[in-house]
Amino acid sequence: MGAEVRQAKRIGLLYDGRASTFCPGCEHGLLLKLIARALEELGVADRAVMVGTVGCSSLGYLLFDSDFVQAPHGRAPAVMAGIKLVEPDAVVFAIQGDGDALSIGLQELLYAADRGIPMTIFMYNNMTFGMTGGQMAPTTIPGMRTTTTPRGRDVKLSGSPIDACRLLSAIDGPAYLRRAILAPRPLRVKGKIFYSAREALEAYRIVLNAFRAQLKGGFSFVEFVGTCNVNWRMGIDESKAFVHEVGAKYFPPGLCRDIYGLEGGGKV
Amino acid sequence: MIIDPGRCKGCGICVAACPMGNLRLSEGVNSLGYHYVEWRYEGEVGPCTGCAACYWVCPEYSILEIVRSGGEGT
Amino acid sequence: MTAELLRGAEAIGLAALMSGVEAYFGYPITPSSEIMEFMASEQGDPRFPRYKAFVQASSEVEAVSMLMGAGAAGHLAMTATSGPGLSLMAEGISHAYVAEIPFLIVDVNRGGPGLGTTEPEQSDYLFVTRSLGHGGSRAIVLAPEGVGEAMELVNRGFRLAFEYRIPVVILTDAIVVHMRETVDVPELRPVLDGVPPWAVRGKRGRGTRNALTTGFLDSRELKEFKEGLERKWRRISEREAYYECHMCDDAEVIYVAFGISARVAAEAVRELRGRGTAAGLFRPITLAPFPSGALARLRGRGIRFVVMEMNEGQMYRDVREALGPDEDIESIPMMGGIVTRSEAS
Repeated sequence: MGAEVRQAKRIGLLYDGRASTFCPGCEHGLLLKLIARALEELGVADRAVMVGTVGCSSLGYLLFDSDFVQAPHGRAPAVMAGIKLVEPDAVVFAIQGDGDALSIGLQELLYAADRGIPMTIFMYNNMTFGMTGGQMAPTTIPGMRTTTTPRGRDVKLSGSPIDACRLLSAIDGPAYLRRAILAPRPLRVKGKIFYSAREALEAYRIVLNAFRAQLKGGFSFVEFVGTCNVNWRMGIDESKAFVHEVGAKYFPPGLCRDIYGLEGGGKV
Repeated sequence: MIIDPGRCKGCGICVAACPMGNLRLSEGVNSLGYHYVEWRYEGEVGPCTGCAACYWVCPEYSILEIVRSGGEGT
Repeated sequence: MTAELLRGAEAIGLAALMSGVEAYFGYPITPSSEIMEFMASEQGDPRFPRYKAFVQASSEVEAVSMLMGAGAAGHLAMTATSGPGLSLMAEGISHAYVAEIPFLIVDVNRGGPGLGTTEPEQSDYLFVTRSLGHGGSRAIVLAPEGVGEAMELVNRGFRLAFEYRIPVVILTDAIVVHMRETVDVPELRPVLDGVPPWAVRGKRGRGTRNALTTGFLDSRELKEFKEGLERKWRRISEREAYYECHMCDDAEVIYVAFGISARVAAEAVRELRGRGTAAGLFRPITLAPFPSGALARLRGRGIRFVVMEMNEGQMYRDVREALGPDEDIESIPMMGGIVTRSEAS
C-alpha cells in the first residue's frame, strides 16, 4: 500500500444530486464511485459503455452518466463481446452480482473469459441474491441462512460455494484475475469502531488495473467481496466484520493472474 | 470539504473513518429520511488533515470533494 | 450481376455480406449450419471489408446476447438457427424488441416441436409471428419462396431492422437453404451508412448518453413506452405488409401458402388451370405483419380458399381472421413436411 493518496476530486461520470437506491452500508455505491473515478483518471470516460446486469448490481445505471445497454440476466459478458467486436475502441464494463455471474450467467462468463475478448467485469460477491430478497446464491457459505436455505446451506443438497477466481484461473484467456475485500474492516479501539480508507484505496488501484488490462487488450475480472447487511439481517458494522472474519476464509483476497504485471509483476 | 447531504444514507462509515473525529451524523434527517453526515464544527474548518479517508470510504458519493482552502482537491 | 447457380445457404450469406453485415454470431444446428460455415469461410474476403467479426458461440443463448451487443452498438449483425435454437433466443429477442435493438435471425425451420426432425417444416410460424418472446415481444417476419428471393429479403430485412429498430426474422426452411437454384444475383447495396445516432458505443463527445434499457421503474413508464411500440408496429403494419397475388382476379379457388409451400401451390394452380379451373395463389411475403388487408379484399366473391402449409394449420388462423367467419377456407396441414402435388390439388 503506497503512500500516494489520490486527489479527492469531483466525479463527473456520476449524475449530480441523484441519490442511489442501494441500502445504507452496501458497497455497491462505493464500487460504482471507484469505477467512475478510474474511467476519468484513465481518460476514457467518453468511450465507456456500461452493460447492465440484473440484480442490485444493475442499479448503477441510474447514477452513471455513460452510454448504457441492458443485458438479460447473466448475459452481460456476451453483450459486451458483441459490442467490443464491432466497436473495439469502446471501454466496456459490467458489474455482475454473484448470482448473475456464477449462476445463470456462468456459461457466458466462462466463454467470454476463454475467448479473452477485452472487457472488464466486476463481480460483487455478497453471497446472496440481494435484489430478489436474499435467496441462496452460488457463493452462499455452508451453514448460512437464506430465504431458500432457512436451516442453513447444506452442502450435501446444495453444493459448496463457487470460487470464481479459481474457476477462471483454469482458463487461459483472462489477463487479469483478482479478488479483494471491498468492505472496510471494522477496527475496535477502546470500545469504539473505526474504519480506514485502506480497502477503498486498494480497491481503487485494482479497478484502475482492471481497466488498464482491457486497454492493453486483455480480459479482466475482479471479484469484490462486499456486504448485504439487509439480507444478512445484520447491522452495518456486524456485516463488515462478517465479511472479514468469515467471508474472507472462503473468498481470500489475492491475485490469480496478472499477465501484464499491473500489480508489480508477481503474485501477492 | 463539500458534502451532498441529500445522498447520505447515514451508514456512519465516514464518521468512523475520520481519524480526527471531524464528522458526525445530524440530528435532523434529509429528504430520504436518513440522518446525514455533517461537519462537527459549526462554521470552522476544524483539524482536517485532508487525508480524504471520508471521501474514499463513502459508498454513496456524499462527500463530493475535499478542497484545501485556496486550492483544488487535496 | 450475372446469373449464378447458388445454394440457399451461400446465397443468404452472400446477400448479408453484400448488405454490409459486420458480425455473425451463431451456433451449429441442422439444417442451418451451412450458413454459419459459409460465413466462417468468408472471413477476410476482400470484397466485403465491412465483415469483421465471426464467432461460433457456446450456445444460442450466448449468440443472441452477442447480437444484442453488436446491434446496440449500431452495427449489422446476424445469425442463423432452427427451432430449438430460436426457442433459446426468445429471451434475447424480447429484450431487443423493447430496447429497440436491430438484428437479423434466419430461422431454418425443421420438424418440431422438441428435437423433431432435421427435415423441413413450417411449424415455427406461430412462434415467430404471434409472440416471439415473452411480454408481447414481436419481430418482423419475412418468408422467401426460393433462393433468389431469400437474397432480396435478407437485404430488405436488414433495412427494416434498422429503419424501425426491431429484430427481423427470415423464416425459411431446410429445402430453400439446401437447394441450388440459378438466380439472377440482385444488386444489393450496403444498408448502413455510418453509425446511427442512437448507438451505444461511448458518448464520444455527444454530451448526453445513449441508454437502451429493457426494464422500467414503474408501470406508467412502461405503459407509455409500450404505447410507443404499439404505434411503431401499426406503422410497420400499414407500410410493410408484402404479398404476391398470382392470378387472383378471376380465381374461384385461391391457394394461400408461404415459403416453399407456395411453390408447390403454384404447381397446383398450374395443374388446375390446365384442367380448366380458375385457380390463383395468394402468397404472404411478410408473415408479420400479415397482409390481412390485401387478403380481406378477396372477401365476398365466393372464392374457395385453400391454406397449404407444412404444419398442423398455423397460418390458417391468420387467414380465417383476415377473411372472417363466412368465407370457405380449407386447411391442408402437412406435418412432418410431407407435401405432395396430388394432395395439393
